[in-house]
Amino acid sequence: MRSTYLGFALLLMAGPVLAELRPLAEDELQGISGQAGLSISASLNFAANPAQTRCPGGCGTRVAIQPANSSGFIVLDNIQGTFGFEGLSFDIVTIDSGYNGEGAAFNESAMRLGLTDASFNNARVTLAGSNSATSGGVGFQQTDLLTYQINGDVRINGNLYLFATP
Amino acid sequence: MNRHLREILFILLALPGLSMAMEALDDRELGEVSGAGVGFFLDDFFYDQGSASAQVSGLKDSQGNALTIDLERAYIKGDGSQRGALDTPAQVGTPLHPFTLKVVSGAAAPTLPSGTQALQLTTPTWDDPLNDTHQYGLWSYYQGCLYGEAGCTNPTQAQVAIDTELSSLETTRNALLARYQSVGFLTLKSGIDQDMLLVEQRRTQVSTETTDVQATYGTMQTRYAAAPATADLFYAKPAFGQKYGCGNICINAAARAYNTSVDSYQTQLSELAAAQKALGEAWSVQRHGYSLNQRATDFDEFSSLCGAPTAESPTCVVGRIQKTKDNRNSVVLVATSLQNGGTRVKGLDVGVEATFSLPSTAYSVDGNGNIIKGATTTRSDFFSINLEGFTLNGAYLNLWGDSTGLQGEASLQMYTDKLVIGTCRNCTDANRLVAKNLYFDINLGQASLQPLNFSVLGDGELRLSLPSVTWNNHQAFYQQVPKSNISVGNLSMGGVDLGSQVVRGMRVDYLEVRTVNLPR
Repeated sequence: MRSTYLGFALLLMAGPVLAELRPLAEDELQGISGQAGLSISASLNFAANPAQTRCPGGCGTRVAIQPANSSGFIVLDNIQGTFGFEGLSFDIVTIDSGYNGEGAAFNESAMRLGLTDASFNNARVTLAGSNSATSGGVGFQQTDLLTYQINGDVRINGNLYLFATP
Repeated sequence: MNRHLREILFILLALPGLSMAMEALDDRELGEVSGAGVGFFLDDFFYDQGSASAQVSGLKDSQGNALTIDLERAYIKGDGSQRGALDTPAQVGTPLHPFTLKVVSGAAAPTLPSGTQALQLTTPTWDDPLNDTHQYGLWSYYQGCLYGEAGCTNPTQAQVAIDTELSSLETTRNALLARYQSVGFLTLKSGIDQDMLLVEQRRTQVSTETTDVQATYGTMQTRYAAAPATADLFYAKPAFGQKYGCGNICINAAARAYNTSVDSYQTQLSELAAAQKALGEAWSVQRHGYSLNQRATDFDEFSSLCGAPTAESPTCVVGRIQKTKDNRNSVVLVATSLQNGGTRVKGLDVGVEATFSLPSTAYSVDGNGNIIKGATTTRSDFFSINLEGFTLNGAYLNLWGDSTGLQGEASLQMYTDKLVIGTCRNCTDANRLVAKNLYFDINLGQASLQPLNFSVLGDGELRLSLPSVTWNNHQAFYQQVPKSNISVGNLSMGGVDLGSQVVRGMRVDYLEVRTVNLPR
């Protein structure tokens, strides 16, 4: 019997609780910022394909872009190695204060990407021009401009804000 | 007819009205259309290469050896980071002054060909004098020293400098006005025009005589080659330009012909000298007490200072003096803002320190004074670039594609308080190249008249080009294609001040950059 009373009492309380779930007004929403978003940690490995003998030890990933009406391609070639980061955050915030008064004047939502330190393990990329999107084959021509290699941890800090502009 | 059918009929009747409302937008209306874009900015940002090691390779030296650049250190931080030593956060753009990426046409990109839309990237842009790169860059050039450093706390120093320049220009103008006051500038011009007729005539004469001299010289060369080693038994072949001793009575026809050609050449040479002398005299014709040469120089100088005169007592509302006055307004605005305690949006500190290895061959001198090539070893060289207070405010890049490929136009507005280039690892700025108040106002391409074209050729070579000016577009070209300027407030090398440097009004008439895969 006691539990029935308790259940009844809970039901009576539930009424006012439900009533609190009304939508927030615009001005209330604006007061909310920096709610927890996504946190992303990743380790991306671009492995070499030993079947492609053009590069010593096999070629990595290749990205080819053909500018409008060009016959050839600009290429990010032989992308190899590991790229990792921990705790890259992603959320939507409202900017309505700070920035020498610009925040209040701006007063809009923005997507915030919280940058974080990154680590590279023998990561490399070659910038090149080529006559073909795919690598190798008969008549394949490519001019390698330069190769950038990085190994170790770099320190990155900051927030990148993205928003729509008229 | 039932009710449904009647409704359908009404709708059908109404349709032509609807389609009429869907008329094409005209150019003016399209000009107003601009797609919504994305704005972005970076807050609390810094990048430091930290403990990572980085390399740039793929380059080759002249002997075909691979050249590797080891990037020992690289950073992008906020202004005041003491060349990257401190993790000073940078604010790159703000909510109301972000970087933007959008599709534009019409008024937002006025130089684009009609009906073209472009992808536009702009950097944070301010209108106030301190953050407008054009105005601040101009002020900083005249200021010379880096504002805020010891001995450089008075922002009106720039004002004094531009006033001095302006007063020197005005003194020159006043002297010219006084010189030709009684004559009048239109009379001066018509006098020059009349006297120039004689100059033109005599220039033509000089040009004719020059051609004659070249022709007779050619004949003389041909005949000298055909002339005999000895003429008429006694006369040895003379040096080129000299005659055989037998003169005009040589029996040997080739020797005689050569001698005649020397005479003709000498005659033409003296005719040319006479024509040049006559041309010189034409330039010396006096009017109003001054030679033509002096009058023409004065008139050109006045035109450059004040614009081409349109009255006997001309005004001075265009030309270099007016331009300097306009510049002075900007300089005063910046100086006043700084005096009132105005501050600039802080820039970035950017730096790279690198070492690269090069083959180095030792040479020595042996006991007999011969130079002996020694062993080739690898030498490691150090190189550093540091930028302090770097901003790129007010720059833009427009990109679009058409039948000739990827086209673009760009305006780079790079300003930096200090650029330090060093080749020594453990030394002070006294041993480095230091440029203060450096402003690069680089404009590449103009959408309609000279679009910057980027393409990749069939053999995989990259090509970047600016088409050349043509006869048909040369007037519009020189009026509209933007010029580029570079100015340095003060340049010092090894502790020696070289003063301010400026390059104004550069324009690329034609440019083609291509990569070439050299066979090695």
